[in-house]
Amino acid sequence: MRKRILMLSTLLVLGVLFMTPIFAQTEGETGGTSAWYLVLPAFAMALASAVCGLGQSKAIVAACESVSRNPGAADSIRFFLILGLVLIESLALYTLLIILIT
Amino acid sequence: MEHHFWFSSLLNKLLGPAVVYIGGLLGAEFQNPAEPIPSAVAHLLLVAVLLMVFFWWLRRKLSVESPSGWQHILEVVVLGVRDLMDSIIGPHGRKYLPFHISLGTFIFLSNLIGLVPELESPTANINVTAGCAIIVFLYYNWIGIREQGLLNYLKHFAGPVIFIAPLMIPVEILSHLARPFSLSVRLFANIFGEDMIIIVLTALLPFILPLPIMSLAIFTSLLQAFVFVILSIVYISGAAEQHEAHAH
Repeated sequence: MRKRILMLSTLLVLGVLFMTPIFAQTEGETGGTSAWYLVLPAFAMALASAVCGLGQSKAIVAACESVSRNPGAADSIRFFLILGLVLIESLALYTLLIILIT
Repeated sequence: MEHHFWFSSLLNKLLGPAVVYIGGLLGAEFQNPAEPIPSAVAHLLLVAVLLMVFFWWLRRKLSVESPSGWQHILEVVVLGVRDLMDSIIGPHGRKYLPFHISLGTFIFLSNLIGLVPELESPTANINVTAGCAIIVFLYYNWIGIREQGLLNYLKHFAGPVIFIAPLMIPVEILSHLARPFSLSVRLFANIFGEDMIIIVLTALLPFILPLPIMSLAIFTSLLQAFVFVILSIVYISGAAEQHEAHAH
């Protein structure tokens, strides 16, 4: 546990040190000319998809365990599972929509 | 990306002048008078005509003693949606069945038609999905008003206790307005996103690489149509609650 904390804090410090070129940006470099704007939609979509994947995995795990506990209710659980998965998926799709619009 | 589809060009050649004339009577102006019908509307009409022809043909072949293959499939679909409505709304909701089946088959076929090489999904256009979502929104509100009366239906917005009504009413209105928004955006982003992925993969390796994604697209077309219908049924069940003790 301590080793993990040490490793993560080292990575954090190194990451911050590597980010120092960002202070070299002059005042005029805002808007579409900055290079970060090329990757910003990809970062946003990656974050949305990752968190969507986590949320959907929790739903699927709960559904699988409850079906294994009570196979007779499989139809009802399948309905709730599909409904829940699609509702969570639509949250990631809102991010995709914003990316497609701009 | 203005790709010109053969079907929309055909329809514009056939019906273009009539549409421009009728539009002129109503005072509408077209950006491009040579092509007044957008490709999404043209493919929407194609889907509607295909569905009408298919159901008319199937109806002539309906029989109790020796059902054909398509009759079996459609019986599964109709009975499945009917059982779903029974479990969510209750048996008094059977009168909403034709609406949901036509909505479901329309959305499914229009999602699927985009996978055919020279055709486009009408649901890949935000206007078509927003149209479907607005219809569902107006329909469930109309059902709520018709079943419970206007004043009683609006009382549901106030929440369980009258004291928290100033807090509940904006929240309820916002959540009701979020429903057609989420319905339309979900369907649009799914189908348009699939189309974009297929386009990108076709640019990489033309006839081979898109195939797994297209097989996944068949599944998600069915799933998105199914979820649209399920959510419409759930909204109707929320609006037409039949005076039972409900926990808002």
